[in-house]
Amino acid sequence: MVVPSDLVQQAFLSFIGTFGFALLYQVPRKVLLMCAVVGMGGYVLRSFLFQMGLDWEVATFFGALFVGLVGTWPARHFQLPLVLFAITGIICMVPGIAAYKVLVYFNQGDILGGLKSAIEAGFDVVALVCGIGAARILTDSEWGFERSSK
Amino acid sequence: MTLPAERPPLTLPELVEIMQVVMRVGVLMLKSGTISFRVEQAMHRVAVGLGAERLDAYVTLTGITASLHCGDQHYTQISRVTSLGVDMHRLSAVEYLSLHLPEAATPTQICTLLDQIEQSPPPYPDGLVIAGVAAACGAFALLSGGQWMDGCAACFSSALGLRLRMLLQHQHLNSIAITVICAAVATLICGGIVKILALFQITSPLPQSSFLAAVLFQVPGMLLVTATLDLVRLDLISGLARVTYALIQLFSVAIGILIVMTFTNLSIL
Repeated sequence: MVVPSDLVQQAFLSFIGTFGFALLYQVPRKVLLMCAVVGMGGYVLRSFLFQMGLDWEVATFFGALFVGLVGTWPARHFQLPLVLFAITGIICMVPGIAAYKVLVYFNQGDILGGLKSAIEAGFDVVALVCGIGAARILTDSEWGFERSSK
Repeated sequence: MTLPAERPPLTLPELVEIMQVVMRVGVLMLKSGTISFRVEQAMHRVAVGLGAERLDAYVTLTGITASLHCGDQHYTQISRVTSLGVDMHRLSAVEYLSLHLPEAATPTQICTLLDQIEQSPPPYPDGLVIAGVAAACGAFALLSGGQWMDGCAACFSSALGLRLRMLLQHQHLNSIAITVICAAVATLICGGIVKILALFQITSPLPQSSFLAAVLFQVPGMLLVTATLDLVRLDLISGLARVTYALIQLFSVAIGILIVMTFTNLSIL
């Protein structure tokens, strides 16, 4: 079930989130807003697909794929490192909270809760990683084909 | 890669001079947080641009080994890399320089350009960075299901935590120690704010979102992405080193949270 008001709120919050981390990572001024937009796009796409009924991990994969693919355009245009957009773009989707929960649960003796959190965080990370990796293989021939000559 | 016809083969002292520049480019890029493949690429471009025939660079997270070849001369050097960070501004500048080397560049000329890049001030003042990250942590608290007071608590505590982190980094304290201390301080402040708000009858139905968002400024998102890209490129050593470093950071944050929980009877979950 798609809830547009939720998506608008999430768009706003993920924009702020990506923007803040872009500042922390010293992203050059001219692409600061674009970074935040790419991050917002990835996050909203993930939420949208999840609301459409896709699995959380699959939605995360497509969110990360979006970030990886869309980020290549401004990177090429401004001749900036590709990794700049990938890193700031996915920061909102990194399961930081689930990862922190793991040890807190274990410390409280809740082994099942800890394992559940760990597996959730692990699946999320793998989905992100696959999305970014797939985007890079699709857009960069240096990644897609292994050649020894540089 | 063939040697440009007009350039005579380099002598060993020239090769050594070029190597210093090439290494500096590599170390600067690695310290700014980019992936090994990009570092190798940029070093290779600079080496060839300065007249060397071939460069073999082996880049890991904590050091670079490189051999420079020209004719029958070759020279190998190892550089240790410490104090890894994330600085996209510097990274972009060095990568741009390696893509646009001046015509007939000399090692001294590129050294001067690198000096300029290293000495250029950070693009954003600390205050702005702290405000941005604080807002981001507040937003994350809301995104993970918190209410407005959770957002406020996460916002204030992450701002103070990040300020402390900057101060400690300035003192060159061990990075694991910094992470543990800052996570503990941020959690403590967040707990304080939640307790003060409770005095005014403002309680959140889901206070854990504020605690966990308050330490998110230390999430190793950067390392996660670079580790992935390294592993996809099959730079296994570098990729595994980054995964390990990311896990150490996560554990350090969790230890910081647990220390505070133990001594203050805060319940986070």
